[in-house]
Amino acid sequence: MDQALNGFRVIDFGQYIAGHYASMLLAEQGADVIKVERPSGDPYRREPGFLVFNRSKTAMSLDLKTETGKRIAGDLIRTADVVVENFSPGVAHRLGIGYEAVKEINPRVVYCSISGFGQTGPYRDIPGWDPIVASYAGVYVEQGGGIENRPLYLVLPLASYYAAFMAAFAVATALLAREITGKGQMADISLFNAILGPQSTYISEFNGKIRMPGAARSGQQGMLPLYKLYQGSDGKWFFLALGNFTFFTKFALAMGHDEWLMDPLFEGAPFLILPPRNTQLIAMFQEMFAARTRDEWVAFLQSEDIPCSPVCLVEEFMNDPQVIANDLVARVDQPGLGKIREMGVPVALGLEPGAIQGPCPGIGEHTRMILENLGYSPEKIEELKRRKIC
Amino acid sequence: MQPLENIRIADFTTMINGPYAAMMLSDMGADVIKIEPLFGDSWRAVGGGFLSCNRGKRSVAVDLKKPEGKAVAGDIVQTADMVIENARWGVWHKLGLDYESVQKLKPDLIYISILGHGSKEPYANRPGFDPVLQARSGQMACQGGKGKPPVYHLIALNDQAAPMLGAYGAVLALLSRIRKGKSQRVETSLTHASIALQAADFIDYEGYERKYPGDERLLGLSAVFRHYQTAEGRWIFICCTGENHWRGLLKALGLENLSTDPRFSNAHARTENDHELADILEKAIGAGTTGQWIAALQEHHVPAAPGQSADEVLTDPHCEENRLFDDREDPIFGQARLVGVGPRFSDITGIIKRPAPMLGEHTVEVLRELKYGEDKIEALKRENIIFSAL
Repeated sequence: MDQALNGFRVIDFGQYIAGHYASMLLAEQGADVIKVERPSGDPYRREPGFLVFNRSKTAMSLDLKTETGKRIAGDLIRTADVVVENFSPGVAHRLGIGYEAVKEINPRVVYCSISGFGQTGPYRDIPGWDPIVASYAGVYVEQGGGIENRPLYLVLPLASYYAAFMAAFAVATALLAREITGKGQMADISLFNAILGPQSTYISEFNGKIRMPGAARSGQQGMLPLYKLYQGSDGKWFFLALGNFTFFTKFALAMGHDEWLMDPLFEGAPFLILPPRNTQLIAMFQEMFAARTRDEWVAFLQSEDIPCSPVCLVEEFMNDPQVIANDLVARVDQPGLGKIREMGVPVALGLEPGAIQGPCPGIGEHTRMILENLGYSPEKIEELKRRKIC
Repeated sequence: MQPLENIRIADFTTMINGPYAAMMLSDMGADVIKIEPLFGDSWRAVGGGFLSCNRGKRSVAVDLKKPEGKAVAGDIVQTADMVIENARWGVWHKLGLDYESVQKLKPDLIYISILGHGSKEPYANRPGFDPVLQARSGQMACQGGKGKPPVYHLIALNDQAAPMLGAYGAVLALLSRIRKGKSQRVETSLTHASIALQAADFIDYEGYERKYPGDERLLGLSAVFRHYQTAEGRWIFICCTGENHWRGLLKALGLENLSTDPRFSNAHARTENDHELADILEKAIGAGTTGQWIAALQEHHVPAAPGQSADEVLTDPHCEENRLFDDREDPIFGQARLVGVGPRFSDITGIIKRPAPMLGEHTVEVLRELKYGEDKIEALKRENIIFSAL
């Protein structure tokens, strides 16, 4: 079936997470993505996420540190619409695949650089590991409750993931611009910039901003009484999400407490119930919810159309009927590992639905085919392999 | 240039995930008309959040439940290239603004749905708020650890990922319209986003060993990959991923004597003796200041970062030099500093046309553009079909 990015070729010089993931998002909307990898293999191959971030691609091995390798990269770039790289700033330039060099070879290329802190500014050369970026960007301190508390390291590499989404958006936007102007350009995406947007609610300054004191923010199960994790009598957890006044109203009525709607204790509901009233209400609700099991509460609240959810493990979510009904669990045949269940395509176009194009390729699995398509003779290819350039 | 400068978007969204997507497109030049109920987007009450999701837009306040109000919305849609909505599944069907209905009004319309749970059964029309998906998808348990208290992420994880995916889908649809003349509906959701944000964990195959490193007090993943507290009570993150980092760490901390210590002679030994190593490093780092250690670690090429707070990010020199914030006078909130445009390009310049609008600030302006006469506008105001702030 036709897909939105059919006819576009992407050369993926990605590393680690963000570059690989961005290219994968392009591949599943129809782009022809060639993953270029050092002949010794990508050091990230050991990680389980690698299989997901690199599926749907073809793979070519290439030693960019040799002159011949650089020439072959040039041949690839000549055929490309998009180049994605996420080396440290300056490295792509040294390898001969920096934007200046690429533009010389192919001025129509959309060139996407992904780095920790971007191509400019004082932190440019700080190694862009996800937790380094997250620390500078305030993520762990704010999750911990501010500087008077201990920070909390987050398990999910959020900055890398958001950077991948932002990069895919930026590449598509630059391709759209190219349809209008005929010109390629460079996009400068950083993990740092990508994780600022998701924090924009509290990384902000304006008159009348309400600042919760640090200690009041530090509860890791939430500190807003109407928007928080609670436990049932069995100790199991659920999240109560009264995200607007209508749901607060439904909740008060369902619980048989219409008077809450007029009670000054609830002033500011749902999001602006300030200390000390918040802790007072939290204690009251926790006691109330201790009367029945978690599943009883969730069933009752859901029957009253009140937003809430039990806390589940990701493996439970992978069997969730809603997730399956929306085609969000894919099965991929991965040579060597068998059938893998993994994420489906996270953006669905009605007429041109994306699709997983194939499993994660082995190191250099398609090198020969790609070189043949570039016009290299079988003898030449053998020689390149012998010299360990490809 | 701005690739979306001739694109008009009818933005029917509220809260975060929809408004943020429309804002990303506004930053790329689109003319976004935010169509709000007479009482406004309920996220308006939470000042900072609204400002950060709605810059650049015009606001039209109209009562969609009245036929005359629906007609106004229909007239706006007639002039639009794209509709963005994030209502509960089914709401627009009742109001006649679902995809099938508006496509009849305007066949080349692109329609973006950013839902809670995806449009396919069984839970399609349940209310969806970010933490409902944080709880159900496994994100809270991932951070809190299996069998331990779950952690509510302060970043609205899915509310912030869904708009990036939605904006990506919107641009893909625009590309298909310009290249192939196809117009279509695009769908993503908090559910899609929650999976995309766990891409490396949403995976299962025979023999796969799932790890549960989470804890509500987690400082990091090992002695050489975690937070440490410095003399002034603040925290730094150290991220050693190779032998060169380890050697640099010992030099920077003046602990070269450990380089010959058999307990720490290689990565395996360090893992075995992780607690002992953490104790030694805690003591060493606790004796110096943040500034001292960051300088020493960076000098020895050890990835390290100070744990910054949101307030520190707001005055961070890297943000200043790269102009990552947008400073402007807001009519209600005064001089405001907010996170600016995300992706950076060599040719496309992000554009913020105006601060977030007041409710109904542009009702009259837009209706005049639609050639409504003054009498009709007055009548609509009088009958409380529309609201104009001016």
